[in-house]
Amino acid sequence: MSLSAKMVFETKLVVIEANPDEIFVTGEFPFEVTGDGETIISYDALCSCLAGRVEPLLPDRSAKLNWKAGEKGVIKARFDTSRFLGTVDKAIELKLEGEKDPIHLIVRVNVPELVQLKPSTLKWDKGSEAKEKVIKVKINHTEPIKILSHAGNNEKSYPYELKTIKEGWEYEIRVKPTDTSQSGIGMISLRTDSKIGKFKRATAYVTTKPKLKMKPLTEARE
Amino acid sequence: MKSFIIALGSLLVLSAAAGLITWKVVGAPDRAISCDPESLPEHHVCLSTIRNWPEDAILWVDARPRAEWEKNGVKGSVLVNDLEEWFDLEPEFMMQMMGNPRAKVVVYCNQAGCGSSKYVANQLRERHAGTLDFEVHVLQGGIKALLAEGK
Repeated sequence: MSLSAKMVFETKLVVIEANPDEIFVTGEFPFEVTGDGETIISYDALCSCLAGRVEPLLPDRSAKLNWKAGEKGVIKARFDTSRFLGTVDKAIELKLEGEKDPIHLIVRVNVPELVQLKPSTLKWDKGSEAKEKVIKVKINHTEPIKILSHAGNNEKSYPYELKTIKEGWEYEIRVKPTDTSQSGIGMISLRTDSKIGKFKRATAYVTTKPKLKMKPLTEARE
Repeated sequence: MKSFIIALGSLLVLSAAAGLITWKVVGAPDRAISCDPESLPEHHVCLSTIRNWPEDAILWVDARPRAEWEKNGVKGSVLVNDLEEWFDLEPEFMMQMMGNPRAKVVVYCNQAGCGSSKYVANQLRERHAGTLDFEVHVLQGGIKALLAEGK
């Protein structure tokens, strides 16, 4: 139990494993009020993708901000996953009367990536051998997702072949640059038949570039 | 009453003079956002550390809403946020990194807890940093640290 003034939360971090086709998920932060009671000044989501709500509501459906000792409630955080992939943390910032520091209630959502490109970028060092390299496209879903079309924006320098390993499940993008003596860049765009908006497109990148002469610095904590 | 006004006036003049002398001797107040490199979360970095890096080794990534980036984003920064479609914003970042490779990417957003810079940094790190040999950091204090510095 984490004690915050007189509002005691069971947890301040909720982890949610979102289903691939789940657009909205909700994190719940149950609390109990102790001491002399508590007044909520504000509860703001720090992202337009998140909406906070204090329950139970008052009879007129407005938010209950004044809480008496012994009362129990829950702060719900509704998260819109539609633009996210992978792990994302978003917070509800709760300000209480008489408290200097706000409380952050964090929703951590893991959003699966149904169309996975590994790697998503291919690189050749300038002047190196123009060997063929491969991007593996894998569908991480219970249903197949087919690639409907594909296009490269620099096929002259980076001709490629899309090879179907298993239709709807596994593909390969094979790229062999025509020349690595010059720097170059290109994109290969895929369009799929996924019903979920964010998986209708995928992009792979290809580049030829000189090796960085400067060794990356490492002052920041890694 | 008259003596009270004179006393009050004298007090104000003396206070102003003391403030002015302090300003001259000590300098302008330090409005920098405090940042301790020893206690930073993983992948976060202080602005003071960044200022020791060569400027041309850094690509700044603004993870705030587009209007704010247009208003006061770092000069030369690229917009990559979690408010617009990732696939629409990523190409510009990639064109910048592939066309003019940089060893370091620094992502900033609005405030502590906004989560956007951390998310964008994680995505860039997982998708491209390994292949393109760059490090991805999150600026501690976000845009507030940059504004406090007067940049």
